[in-house]
Amino acid sequence: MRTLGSLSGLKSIKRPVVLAAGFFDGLHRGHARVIDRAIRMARSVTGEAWALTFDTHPLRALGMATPPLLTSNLHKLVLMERMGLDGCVMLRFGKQLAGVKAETFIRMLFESAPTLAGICAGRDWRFGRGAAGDVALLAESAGPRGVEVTAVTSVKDGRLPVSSTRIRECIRHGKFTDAARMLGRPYSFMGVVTRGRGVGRQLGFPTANLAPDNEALPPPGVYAAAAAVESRRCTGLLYCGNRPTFRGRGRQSIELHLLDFEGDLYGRRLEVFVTRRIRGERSFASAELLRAQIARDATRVRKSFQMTAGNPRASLSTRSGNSGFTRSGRASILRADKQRKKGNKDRIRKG
Amino acid sequence: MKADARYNAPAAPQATDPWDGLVLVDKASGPTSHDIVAGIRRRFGIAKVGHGGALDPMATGLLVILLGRGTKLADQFTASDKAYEGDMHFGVATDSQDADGKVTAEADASFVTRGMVEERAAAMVGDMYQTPPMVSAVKVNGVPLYKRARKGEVIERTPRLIHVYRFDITDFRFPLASFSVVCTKGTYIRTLCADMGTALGCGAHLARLRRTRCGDLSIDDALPYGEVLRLDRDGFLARVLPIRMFAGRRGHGGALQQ
Repeated sequence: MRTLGSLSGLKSIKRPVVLAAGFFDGLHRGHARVIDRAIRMARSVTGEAWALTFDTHPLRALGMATPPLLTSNLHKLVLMERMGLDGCVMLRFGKQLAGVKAETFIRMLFESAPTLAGICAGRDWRFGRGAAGDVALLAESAGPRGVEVTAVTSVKDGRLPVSSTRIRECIRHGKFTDAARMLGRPYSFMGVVTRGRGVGRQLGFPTANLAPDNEALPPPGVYAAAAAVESRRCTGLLYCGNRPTFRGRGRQSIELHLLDFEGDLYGRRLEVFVTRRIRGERSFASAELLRAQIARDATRVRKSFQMTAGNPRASLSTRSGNSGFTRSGRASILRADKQRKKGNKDRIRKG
Repeated sequence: MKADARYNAPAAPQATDPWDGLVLVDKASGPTSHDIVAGIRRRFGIAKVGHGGALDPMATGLLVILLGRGTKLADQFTASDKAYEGDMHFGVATDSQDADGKVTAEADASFVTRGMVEERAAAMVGDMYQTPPMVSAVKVNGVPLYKRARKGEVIERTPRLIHVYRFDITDFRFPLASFSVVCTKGTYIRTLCADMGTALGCGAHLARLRRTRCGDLSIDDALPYGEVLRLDRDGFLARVLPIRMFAGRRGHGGALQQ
């Protein structure tokens, strides 16, 4: 997939171009419908399907408050490529572009893309100064030029349309199954592995400290997660929070411990898929108690992946412990859970 | 728990290969569906090519060509509802029920009016059992019927349940009637025509057939086979619909909007 920072690069494309326009935060099922329509339109005229998007949320560019975004620009590009788009034009959205009138923007679009064959956008897409432009205006000026404009309706989930706002709420409350259903893919974020303090390694659970690109992140707690390392799928535990046991000072840290993994991840950018909440965040009286809890969390993560579907690696590694996943296995997890809760209370009282 | 499994165990995202997908081809009359598949395989050097539901050699229209991992979606397209348009010829019955077969009976059909044909067509809408023709790829005891038919055998076939959503007569110019039909998978349009001929008492066969839709895929988005072969590799890639758009759909192929 190719990426352009301005419309002028579209001039060099010989084949017909169909644009899917939108800010596309989250690349959820509603966005996928717009993009799929563009791909279909492009394929039927032997052309290329490109996304037309902005590098900054328009409201943010105008200095207004915006919600935490589900996807960073890089993550968006990765997801767009996975969706089968041929390219993406990511325009710099600053004060300058914000001041461009809708009519001018349309003219810019037609002038810089001579082979433009179609534009798809969500029915409620707005553009131009004061968000004055809409799909109807676009269709009005596109018609005479033989450019097909399609307004794509939203995708419903339950009685309400799928929206980035709803998905953000799900993430905020740790409801990953609901989020995944609306995203049409598992929830994931991307981040670069940075050097941490090495506390995890001392505890026997080395973690990759992630500097996330994304803004919408899970609430404090421990999660079952997966990441692709050199196209191999690794499962692990994700920790989000500010490390109360070690008196972390307010700075949120995101750490990933991969099960059965050895190797150097520093500097690498990982896409982390979050699938299930294991427990909430809490403080431990000692590092040893924390270590024991992480070990139990790791067992639960193994079970969780083994239970939900075929990860042969996970099932192999637990074979020595609890034999496979059986009804009694589930019962013993529940038992262990109860005992742990009781034990925690005792400890807190003593502490 | 089971419903969550899809999302809860994400696989490492597989590298997206642009050659995995499907291409919509407008089949020409003459070659078999397999000839088209083989032609594309040879022209573009792709190892895995298949199709999502065959068309008779005589028929034209939408043939879904599957590439690479897209071949795994074959069942989905085979199972989809289909839409066709074509012509039936009254007064001549053939052994294969279409224009490629030997004439088995001729009768005067000048009494047939458009109104009679429309009435019969309307009566065919709905669920019905259809006996597949002897000249068909339906297998009985593992042997395709057409192999038996070539030896001159006629054996008993099990009728299959089909559903015709609509059957409209769009034009009538004796002895030809043009029609458009929307039906479930496995419906033999030539059998519909032959049955119509039998019902009217004059016999009939299918003279022309064109598939216009397969599931939610339309002939409008397809490229004629001859033009597909003239594309270069990049041009061909610009016709490949990614499998992601079709993978993960549940159950059988989607119903056509009516």
